[in-house]
Amino acid sequence: MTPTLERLFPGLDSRSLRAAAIVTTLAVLMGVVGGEPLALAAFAPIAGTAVTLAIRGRPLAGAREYGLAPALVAVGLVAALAAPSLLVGLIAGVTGLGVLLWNAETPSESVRTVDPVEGLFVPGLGLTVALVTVIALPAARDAVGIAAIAVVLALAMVVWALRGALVADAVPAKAL
Amino acid sequence: MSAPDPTQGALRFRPRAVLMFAAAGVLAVVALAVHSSVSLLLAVPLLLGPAAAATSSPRLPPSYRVSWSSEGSRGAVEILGRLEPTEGGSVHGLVPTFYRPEPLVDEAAPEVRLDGEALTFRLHWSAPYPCLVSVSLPRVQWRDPLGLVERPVTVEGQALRLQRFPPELARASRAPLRRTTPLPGEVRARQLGGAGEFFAIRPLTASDTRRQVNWRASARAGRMLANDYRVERTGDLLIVLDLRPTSLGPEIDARLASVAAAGAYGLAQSFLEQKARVGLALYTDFVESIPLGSGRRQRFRLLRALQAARVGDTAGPSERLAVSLRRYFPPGVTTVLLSALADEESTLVLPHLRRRGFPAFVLSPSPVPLLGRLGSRPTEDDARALRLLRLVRRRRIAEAWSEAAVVEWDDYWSLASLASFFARPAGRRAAT
Repeated sequence: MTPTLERLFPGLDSRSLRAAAIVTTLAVLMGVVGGEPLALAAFAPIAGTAVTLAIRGRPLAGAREYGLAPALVAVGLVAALAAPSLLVGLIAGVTGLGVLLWNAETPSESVRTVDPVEGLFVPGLGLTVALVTVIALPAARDAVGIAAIAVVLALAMVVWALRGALVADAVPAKAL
Repeated sequence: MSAPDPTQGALRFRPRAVLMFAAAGVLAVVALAVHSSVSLLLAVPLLLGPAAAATSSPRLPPSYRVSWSSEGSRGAVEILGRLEPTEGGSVHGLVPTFYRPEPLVDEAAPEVRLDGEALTFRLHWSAPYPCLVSVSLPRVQWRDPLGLVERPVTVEGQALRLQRFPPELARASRAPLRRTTPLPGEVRARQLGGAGEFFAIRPLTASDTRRQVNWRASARAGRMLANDYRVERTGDLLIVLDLRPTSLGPEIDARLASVAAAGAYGLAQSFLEQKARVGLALYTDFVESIPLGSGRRQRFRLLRALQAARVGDTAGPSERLAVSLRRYFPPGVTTVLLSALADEESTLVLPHLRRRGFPAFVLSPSPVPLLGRLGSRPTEDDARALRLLRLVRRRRIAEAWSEAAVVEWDDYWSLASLASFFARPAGRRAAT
């Protein structure tokens, strides 16, 4: 990448671009396999990725944190319009993992002592469980119901696990 | 000791994790609305990622220790450091954030590496001009691999003090200084040789001549020793910084003050190493002084005062400086005035100092290099204006020479002119 581009868009580094390429390719593939028109399946992810790269490339804290929103909207649109099938579901799940990986790549935070791929183990495991559920239940409606229950249960577990972190510790009185 | 911060060490979600949660929630709702499992399967990793990150936080040691040092010469600032747990623990997942003080600039991205049970780091900064800065301790946080949750950790250590000034200042201590207060019981020899009066015996250094070697003492001690003479090490030095605002504007004034403070510290350090007494006076609208003193404590006092030195809001009259100096310092002390001589008022200090009994010479950091840097792309008019500025400055320095010797400091990373000023005898200097 040229130094001028790097200066204009500090977010356009190789790691971030690689993650963006993975997500875009998977999203286009999801749309095409899901029976969507090629124009929509290709345009929405590419446009979302381009806008996201432009936003995250700016040296602003908010842009780094929330810059992925356009790409999420585009990928979500493609997923909502895709015809459900096992293959499309698999691609959607892997796309979700790719989004997590992309989210972890913040070029301005060049200091990193751990590989982001290590963090994909539990989400990948959850995705596998969900896919197995879909395979085990032939009717799509049932699969959606079971998966929705799984999501609600997961959310409840999250709230339970984080109640200590979300509620601040009591401050001891100064007199004590 | 302050009370512990109750939020210290609390795990918290980063905004990007909130974005993931929100996206997962919206996708789940969409999935239920359109009866499609695709959106739901897309939502599963987005939901589980932050949840797994939050539950993966390890047990961290109570604190981490930072040990660091700086390297580099002239403007280059290389900081090498090590972060390790005070007790047994891991540094896996720790992310340090470094605070770069002004006027230092980034030269390259920081390098952070895992080195066994410690984290080593190397920062590449540079100083555009001489300065005295203090680098605060880095903020260290534990982050999960996906960067979704973080937890601050306690860091122990000391701020790193950086001093960047021209290397020639280390040789400035060869200048002969006047001693204004004889030591108790001191009786000066009537006639001194070329080396001066005997002071003490010390280890031989590479710069010593053969005549300085004390052969008898060396034979007794079994190592080479040399005689130390009073002329090399006696005397008092008063450093005066003119920190009054000038017509150059606050930005240039602040940079010139930084250059002057760094130069003052370099001079002070050089003379203090030779056990001379050094005092400091900072002048804005009133004088802030540090009395003459020597030793490491005095060096620390001077460093603190010079690091805190800022250009004042109002300018005091020139005569007040000379009058006030008489309250704090004995007359006759060798005085170095660090002033940019940016306007007529600043040159007026010199006759007042001379009349009040302070034989001064001026070390004058030139504002011209800073003025040249301000414009991003200098036009032909800028170049012409710069030439005119140089002419004006040359004329002002010529006028100041009628009152005191002036050493112009236009190349901030070299003070060869000061070294040659000290090397030349006063008689020849006056003649030129």
